[in-house]
Amino acid sequence: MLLQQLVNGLTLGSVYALIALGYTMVYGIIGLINFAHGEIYMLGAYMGIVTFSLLTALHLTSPDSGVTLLLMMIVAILFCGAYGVTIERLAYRPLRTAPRLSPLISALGVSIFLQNFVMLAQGPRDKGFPELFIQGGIDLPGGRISAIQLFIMATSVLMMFALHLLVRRTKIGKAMRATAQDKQMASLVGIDVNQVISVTFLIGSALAAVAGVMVGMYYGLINFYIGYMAGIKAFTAAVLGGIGSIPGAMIGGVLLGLIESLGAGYISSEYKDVFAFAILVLVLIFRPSGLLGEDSSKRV
Amino acid sequence: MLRLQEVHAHYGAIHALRGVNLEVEEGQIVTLIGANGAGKSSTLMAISGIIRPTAGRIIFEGEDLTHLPSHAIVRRGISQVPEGRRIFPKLTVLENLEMGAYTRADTAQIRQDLDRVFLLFPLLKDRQSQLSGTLSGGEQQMLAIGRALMARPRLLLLDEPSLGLAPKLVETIFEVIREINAQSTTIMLVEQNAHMALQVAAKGYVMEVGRIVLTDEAEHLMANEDVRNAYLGE
Amino acid sequence: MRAPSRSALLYRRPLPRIVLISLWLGLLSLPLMMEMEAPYFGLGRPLMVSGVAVLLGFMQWLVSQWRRASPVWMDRMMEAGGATIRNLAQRVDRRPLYALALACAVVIPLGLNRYHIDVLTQVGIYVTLALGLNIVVGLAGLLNLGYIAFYAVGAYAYGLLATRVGLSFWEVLPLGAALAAIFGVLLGAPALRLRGDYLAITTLGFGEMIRIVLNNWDSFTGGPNGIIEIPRPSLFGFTFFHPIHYYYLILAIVLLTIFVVNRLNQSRLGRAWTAMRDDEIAAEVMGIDLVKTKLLAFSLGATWAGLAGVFFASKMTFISPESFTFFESVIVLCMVVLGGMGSVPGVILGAAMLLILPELMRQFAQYRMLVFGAAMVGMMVMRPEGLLAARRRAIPLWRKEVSRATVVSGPQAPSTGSGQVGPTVQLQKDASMTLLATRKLSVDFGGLRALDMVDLSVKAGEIVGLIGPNGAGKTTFFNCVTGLCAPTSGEVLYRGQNLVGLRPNQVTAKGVTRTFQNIRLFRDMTVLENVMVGSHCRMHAAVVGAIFRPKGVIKEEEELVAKARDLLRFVGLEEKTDLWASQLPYGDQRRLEIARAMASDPTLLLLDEPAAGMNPQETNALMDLIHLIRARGITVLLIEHHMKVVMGISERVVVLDHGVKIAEGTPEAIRADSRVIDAYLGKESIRA
Repeated sequence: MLLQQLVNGLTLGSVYALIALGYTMVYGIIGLINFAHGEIYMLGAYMGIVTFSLLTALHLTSPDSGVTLLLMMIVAILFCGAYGVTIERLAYRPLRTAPRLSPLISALGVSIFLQNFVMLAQGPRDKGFPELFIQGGIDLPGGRISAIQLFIMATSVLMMFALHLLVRRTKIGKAMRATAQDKQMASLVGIDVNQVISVTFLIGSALAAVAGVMVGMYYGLINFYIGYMAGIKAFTAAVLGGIGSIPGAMIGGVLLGLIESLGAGYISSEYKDVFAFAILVLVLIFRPSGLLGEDSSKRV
Repeated sequence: MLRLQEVHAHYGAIHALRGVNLEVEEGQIVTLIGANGAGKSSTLMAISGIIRPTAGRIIFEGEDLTHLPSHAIVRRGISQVPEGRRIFPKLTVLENLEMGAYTRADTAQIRQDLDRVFLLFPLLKDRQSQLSGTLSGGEQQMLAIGRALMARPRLLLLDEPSLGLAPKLVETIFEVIREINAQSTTIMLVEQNAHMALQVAAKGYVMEVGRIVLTDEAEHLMANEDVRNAYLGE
Repeated sequence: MRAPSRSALLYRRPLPRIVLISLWLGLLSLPLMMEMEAPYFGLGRPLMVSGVAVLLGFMQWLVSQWRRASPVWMDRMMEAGGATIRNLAQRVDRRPLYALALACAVVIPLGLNRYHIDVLTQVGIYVTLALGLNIVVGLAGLLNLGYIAFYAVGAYAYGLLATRVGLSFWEVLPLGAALAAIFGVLLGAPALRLRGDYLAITTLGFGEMIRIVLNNWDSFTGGPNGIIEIPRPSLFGFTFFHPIHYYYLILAIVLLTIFVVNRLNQSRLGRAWTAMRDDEIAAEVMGIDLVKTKLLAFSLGATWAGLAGVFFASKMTFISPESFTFFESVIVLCMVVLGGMGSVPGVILGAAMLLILPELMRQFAQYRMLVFGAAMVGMMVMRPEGLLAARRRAIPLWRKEVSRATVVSGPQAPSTGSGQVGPTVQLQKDASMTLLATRKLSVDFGGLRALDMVDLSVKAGEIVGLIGPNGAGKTTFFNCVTGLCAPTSGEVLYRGQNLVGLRPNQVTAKGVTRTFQNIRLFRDMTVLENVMVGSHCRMHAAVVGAIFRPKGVIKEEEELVAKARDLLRFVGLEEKTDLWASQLPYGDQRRLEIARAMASDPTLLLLDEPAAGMNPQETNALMDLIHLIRARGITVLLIEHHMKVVMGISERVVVLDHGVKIAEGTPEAIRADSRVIDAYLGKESIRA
């Protein structure tokens, strides 16, 4: 039982981590809580279905092919990236110098808009995610790891590693870090801050897209509302790990997944959502900088 | 090389620059001195494009820079070391220097410049992989200057490089400034420490309340009593 | 399909650009529009989407062209229009208008059918909710995304108390409101230190937690099935059964809400909220207790939601957690934001629009939320203040009452040296008393020693100047004295009492106040109100006083207005009392800040670079003013870089460099002191 909960928790946590990265990177660079990020994840899931239907209709591939899955991911990444960048340009950039309340409300507006747009376009009922080739699993004493779970964990780790390399080794990654630390100074060394911000949104959205497709595979059913809950939880994970810190988001995501899974298994599954909210509230009140963040300096 | 014509700038309601006129010739060290709040930093920020002038023009090597965004101005060859050092604290020394060369793509030359910076500041070479936030004030200042040099600027703007540094370090910094100028980089230096600034510069401008009130060759300014009055009052 | 960006200045060629953006948006929406069961490449819908985007873009482009073509005269026209409206508002008696509106509200529904009355009742509920949220978000500036939880508290309070305990509607009405207020405090207390985004998320978390608990605690709340068969209200044996009965009830509630909210808005508390919203730091320094003020905002805001909740439960006779989702909170927030934050008519308009418009366009009902979302984004991007530009508060009727009172009662309020009896008397008694003395005051910021064992004293009646090069620690010193920053070690003794550890508002109450280097005025308040806020800690009116306005409170306000006018006359701003603080030119803003600081009846006034950015005439006027301030019995300590000012008016000058006091003496001595000259100009410096 414990092992099973742990496995479930790690799977869930990997997904949370991917989505949390988007929150944390955007917050780190422009100080905005991107409420609409959860919807990007939801869009990713829907993109997966759309791509699959398209490919099937054109008789290009079948559910058994790994290529199908790859194509689904790629299309989802492309579209979600495009959505992320567009949203930033239209709804956030004009509000760069506005009081703190405005971009927050704008983000809420985008979130509501996207949710309802998808609801109207795709219908309010659950949509079935295509059955893909990944079957089977490993049986262990105390639990079973399904192939899909392994796939999710492996993909997440891969993506996080890729992000790590990007942020640590590449020029644009360093520029992102520099901009997050001191925007004005970044422009004084010649970094086009607007461009860097767009790239940040692009990467965050790409990660969320992958998460969306994988969750679709995992649960088999999606609807327009999944973005909200997952978004809140992923944000909680980001805060838990220390908002603005990339390793923090990864750790926070996994931790939250584990806590939620164990809590649902051992305490109560009805109240599992409460765990996330409770953690969120407690962290924000008692240690807003999270696990890996530094204590923000006192205002003077 | 650089010319400011009747530049006006505002910080919200404050009229920070009230018609600044100055000229910097190629190869010179020009210094801008004056009391606090006179507008010296604002002048540099206007040149670098962080503040948009509300009137007037900034012309660099024949090109009008007045309305360009800051990153474009860096590409044109003007780098600034702003007040307070402002290194990227969570990047290593090496990464900070790499960021200085952000606008460049010529890897071999960048490597050369990196060596040149290490020659100027041997301390930095020893601490390449150290997180720059853990460096001391003087080391950070050296890093900030080195970072600006990595862009191979034609004009280097320095805002109060001696701020908060021990006297011995101040001397070192000013030696470095001379050295950089000797390697044919034009320098515009803003300083509160008028004495040292005038020793190292060829020409000086004295600012008061957003305007240039006095300009002369540095040696003449050093002996000029009006300078002292500008700082300490009548 | 978000409204295109406002930065019209970036459009090189607007029309092609708008077309491109619309096509891009259409492209983005294309995949989502595809039918799943039978995929086809229908282009109809994406094109429609693009069409709407083009239309919006075109409209926005028109507006920007219009604005660019005639900005100056349009601005002037709007200013003039605004001023006229304000004048009218002051002269014209608004009461007949209100009476007419009330009459309409009472009479018109009699002629409507059940359905329409129901809609109006819904509007009433949401107006109440929005007005309550307006207190928290609009007035106090605290973003609460879990507001609907209080609504739920009220509803469940009635549901449970009526079905389980048998209390009547009228008994539960005040109980529900009180319970909601308590929850307001409970939810607000942990979130006090949070700002902006974090506060929003925390309140969101709380709201959702309450909903989930309601949904799952079957035994107590009935879980997802909720509570049924809730009794309707009855009055003297007559039970409500027709929508019109409910309508009049909610109308009464709405009127009560408007009345109380207005009264709160125009009181000492309302000023404190607006000040806190504009600039929390300045508000605290002006004597406002942030904790109390925030908690009051939360609880008073929650009260109305509680009332509305009780009403809602009695009308629906059945409640379930589904009515209290995050979306509901967002809708109410939308009403506040779209209608205009802080403005009562704006909020009512917002609520009405957001509810009635969808009703008028029934066939588009499913697009309602879509439009909400887009409108929120559009509104923020284009007009963050809301429809009725209520970022600026309307001139309250209250002031009309008060100013009439002062005129009638004649010049009783002393016009010279008012309110300064205390300090002047003390000044004569303790002529050479040390007012302020810091002992070994030190501040460490991480590795930086901002202040190092600073011993500085100021005697009563002196004007002392504090100078030093950039980064010397002067403002840090002020911050320590006024409680904005905690020293690492050392003491700050004011009249023998250690100020270290006190909050800034407590320091102000003791008699030490300050102005700021970067001018922290309350931009959304008039000049007069700014000064009035300064007196916050010297007044006593609280919530009850604000609502009921007993004679004592009215008298207090009258005296306050008189005192504020007097102070404005003192600094030379008497012509500008009704201008918005942000409209003043720079020099006047500095003087206003001084007047505001003086309103707290300080004995010691700290001025942080009062002459910064002033021209020579203004500087001279400032120097005279400082002398006059001292003549009133206020001791002055000022930071200044402008040497003419410091040397001209200080009796004593203290010099800081790198956090250390390096010299102290008369201006002449300081100017000749070699250490000082070195600190400023560098070693081996210029001599005459």
